[in-house]
Amino acid sequence: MTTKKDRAQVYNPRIDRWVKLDTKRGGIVSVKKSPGPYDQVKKYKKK
Amino acid sequence: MIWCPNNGSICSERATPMPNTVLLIASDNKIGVPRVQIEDTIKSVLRDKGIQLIFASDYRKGGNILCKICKLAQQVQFGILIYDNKVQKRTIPNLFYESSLMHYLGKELIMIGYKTRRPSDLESVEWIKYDEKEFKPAFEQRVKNIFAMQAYFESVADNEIATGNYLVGIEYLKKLLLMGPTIPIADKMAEVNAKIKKIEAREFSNNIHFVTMTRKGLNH
Repeated sequence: MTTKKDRAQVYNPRIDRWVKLDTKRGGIVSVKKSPGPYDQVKKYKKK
Repeated sequence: MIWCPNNGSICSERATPMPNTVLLIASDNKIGVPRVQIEDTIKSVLRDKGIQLIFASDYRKGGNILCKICKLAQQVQFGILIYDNKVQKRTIPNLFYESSLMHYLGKELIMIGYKTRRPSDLESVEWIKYDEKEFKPAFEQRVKNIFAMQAYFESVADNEIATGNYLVGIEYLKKLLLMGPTIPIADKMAEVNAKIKKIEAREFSNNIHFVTMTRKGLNH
């Protein structure tokens, strides 16, 4: 099961919005509608 | 995998990536419009970034034009469309067919308009209106934005590869390689390719097993 821990966010400069990624299954989960990062979602760090 | 509109099947052409190249989609007609100024500005901005401009119009002569343009669209890093009021009626569909090819292939396209209304389908797409003073900074900003995507693509590619989505990951790596070819990216691509090949081999043997078992089941 995917949990909150399995999410990370990355900034998309083209649309000036933060994008939430699924770090367990892959793929983009959602795009933030307002500016600024998501609360309580870690920023993606390269592995 | 590209489905070819010419032969109705999967494309058999091999499009070798041409890093640091941009396809200019515009008409040949340069009379009565500030096309020369637009082109000069584009050239000077791209030259500073070490990018070469390729003219689609040079490939619209003889042979299979659609095939040549489609191949180019796959090879270049991104595209630029210039749509002005002097484009001949017969050329307009070419410009927009080529533009939609770029979009379909997932390539960035900078659209520049001069004294024209953009087609209604493209109203939500960012469009730079040519203006002598404001054009250069606006164009520079768009090019900068495209390059700023590198960090984003790298992170998404990393995440996809780490989660086993190699085919998606490799698409992001392809974009990165077109933007700025580096040895680490090329190495990473080779590594992912090897993983895909391994999976393919496994899937192939799984399929063979599946077919054999199904045949056995059918015999009973």
